[in-house]
Amino acid sequence: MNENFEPKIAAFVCTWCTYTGADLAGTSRLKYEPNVRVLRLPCTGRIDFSLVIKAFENGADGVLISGCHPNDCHYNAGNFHARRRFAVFRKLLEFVGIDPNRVQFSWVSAAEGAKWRDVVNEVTDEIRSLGPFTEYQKLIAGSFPFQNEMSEPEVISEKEQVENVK
Amino acid sequence: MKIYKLKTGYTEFLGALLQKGKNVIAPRFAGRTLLFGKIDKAEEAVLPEKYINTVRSAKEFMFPVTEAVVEFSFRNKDVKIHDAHPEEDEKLIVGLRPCDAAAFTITDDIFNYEYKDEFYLTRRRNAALITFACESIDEACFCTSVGLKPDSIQGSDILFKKNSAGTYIAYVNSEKGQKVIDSVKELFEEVIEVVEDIPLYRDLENKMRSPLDTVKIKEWLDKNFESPLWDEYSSRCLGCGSCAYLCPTCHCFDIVDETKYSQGLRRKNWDACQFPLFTLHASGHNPREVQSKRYRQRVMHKFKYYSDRFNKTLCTGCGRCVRSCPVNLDIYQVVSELTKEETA
Amino acid sequence: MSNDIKQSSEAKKLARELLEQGKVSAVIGYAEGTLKGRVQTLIARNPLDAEKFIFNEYCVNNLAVYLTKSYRLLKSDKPVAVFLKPCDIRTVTALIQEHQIKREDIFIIGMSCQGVRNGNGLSGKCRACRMHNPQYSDAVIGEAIEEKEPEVTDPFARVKEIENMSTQERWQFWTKEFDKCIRCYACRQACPLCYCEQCIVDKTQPRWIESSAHPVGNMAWHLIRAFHLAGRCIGCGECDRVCHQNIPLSLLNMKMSKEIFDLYGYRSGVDPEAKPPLTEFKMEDNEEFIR
Repeated sequence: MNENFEPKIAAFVCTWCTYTGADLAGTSRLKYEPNVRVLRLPCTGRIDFSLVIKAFENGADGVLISGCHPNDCHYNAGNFHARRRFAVFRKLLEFVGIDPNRVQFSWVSAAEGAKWRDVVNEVTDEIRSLGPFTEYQKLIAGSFPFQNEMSEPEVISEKEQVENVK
Repeated sequence: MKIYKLKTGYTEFLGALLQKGKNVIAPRFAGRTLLFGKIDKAEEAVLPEKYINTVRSAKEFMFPVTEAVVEFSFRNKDVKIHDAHPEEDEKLIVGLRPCDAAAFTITDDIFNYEYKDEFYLTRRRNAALITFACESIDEACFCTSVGLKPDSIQGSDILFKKNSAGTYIAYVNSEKGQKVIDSVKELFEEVIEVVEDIPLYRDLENKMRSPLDTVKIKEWLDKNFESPLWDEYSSRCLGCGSCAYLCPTCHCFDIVDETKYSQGLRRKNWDACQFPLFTLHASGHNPREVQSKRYRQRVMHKFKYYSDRFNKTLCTGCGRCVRSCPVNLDIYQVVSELTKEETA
Repeated sequence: MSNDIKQSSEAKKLARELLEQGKVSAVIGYAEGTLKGRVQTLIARNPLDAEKFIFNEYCVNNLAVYLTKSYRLLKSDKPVAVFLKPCDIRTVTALIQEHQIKREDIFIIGMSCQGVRNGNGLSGKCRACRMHNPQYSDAVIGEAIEEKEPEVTDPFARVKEIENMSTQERWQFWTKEFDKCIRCYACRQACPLCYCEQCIVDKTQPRWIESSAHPVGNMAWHLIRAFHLAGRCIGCGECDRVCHQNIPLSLLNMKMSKEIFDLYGYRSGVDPEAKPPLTEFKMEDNEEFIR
């Protein structure tokens, strides 16, 4: 395995707890692995598993899903529903031959900046040890046989983005 | 048209073609499913006497399930477009049935009509169709209804038929076919005299469902766009695409753009008139919003519209739609009953 | 065989009576097919059509699919009668649970069933069948059948075989199977529980599942199909039967049923009062996998 491999991790978090917790980690100047791309959703109950599949289709090596602790959900029961759904979804992934550890779950509250740091570090380590998600990357390569050279992935500054919209 | 006798069996014939470095596509098992596919060893191919027909027709080698027609990349407002091109390699499609070979002569018209479909036509030019006459049929077959026979040569570059001794006789039908024979000349022996017509093929022809009267069907369809019968017959249709996807002559497609990062492909995918999305307008209006209208479209397209435009029936009687329909909605039965309704 | 004839004639009689007396607006049942070993669906609206009804060992279709697909049929002030085998009746139960149909809108003609054939042999689902007598019906056609130990005692045997493979083997197995898919959606259309007005795969803005039959699109489609049926699939096996590419689709559904039962002790289509497991929760649900 490539020593220098750095996994790409999509983190789907709920806006009320984990997103705020991650924000707290930031304002507390806690340092953690830069591999996660945080995507904010209203509630873990809103995190449809199609999002997980989409993340894999777009080159993620792992997915982290995080929300409020049980009984703390802003919408009362969103996280309970998510818990059942993902317990089952993990089994499906496992059954088709995807390592279920590529999809990780956590409860991180708005007060748990430190826990967020730990979760991200642990998850990153774990996915790093699993290596790149070559199986899915092969599917992608097989589905998109580009004939022409790939253009550089574009990095657009915020200013440019605003310009583009105009 | 030259006639040859094949001195060896089917497997040796394929083996010789493979040895000459030919790209051979023949019916072989993919799991439990008999499909056309590229073969690397002659033994992979299933002998023609062992099957009636493949599950999917050979149309996917001219018109694949999905293919890229345009490639694009973008960076900010800078968009680059590259034309995609079909592969140019020559293919030998071996082991087709006459109904599948004839299907290409029907779809050639539409892919040459107004717009010349480069993708279809290039592949068509580069493919030789090597047909083997049917040695068995089942109750779903009805090619005699649409002017074909178990040993029709229409569309084939070479047609293989057995003689009474069980030897394959090759009827060359085109330049392309002659080239194939010439490339493995050592296996063949030219026959000059007229070859006997063995009873097997006529027996199969007679055993088949009695021919449909396509003229009468068209007359009925011309008059009955609005008929309560459509509703009655289609009420059991589940609206799946089995019939259209397996049909050798169904050729409808959908164009979609799919992107990955800052690159993408515009694809041409199989589509079917049985899906509501097929005709759904951007406004939200759907001119064929119910299954009866979609089923009518299928029948009309096969037996009326295609005939209006090209004077051909868009059907080769291969029976795949009959075999694959989950609820046994049999197009042969439907059109024959529809025409009866009028006389009654 | 004589049983078939008896059941067929009873079915004809009942269908005719129901239609003559105006108790139902239509009867959905089986009729003679055009191919050997196949039957057709017949939706009879007048008593004369009732003569065409039959019931035999080839009646493998689950007719409950018409209850949601042909929604116009149900738009009537009278109920619709449907021929249902004991296993098919679970579909109605599941549809009632999901508020798709009302019990009073359906007249269930329960067919006592010895098992049906799919092609040459006994259908896979029948090998492990433990329900030969219709429950929950408005009328029963056929005599009571003695329930006995099925030929296959563990319906999940094949699922377990795959579970025992290595992760890589499983990935190879499924990617190879999904490669055959040409996206005709026969699995979706034949499924009595796939009744969404708009399927996620038909949604184009945004496009969730790529509609092209390529490895990425096929993987996404089959995962989502299986998951949308988790805890709902009643195991009629229609997806398997209609897949002309022979993809073992019901294995995915079976796996989901097995997990749902292990986790939440729930079996689909058994209790019309029960709530489907993914629409409810318990405080003490398993969360071992959550950090």
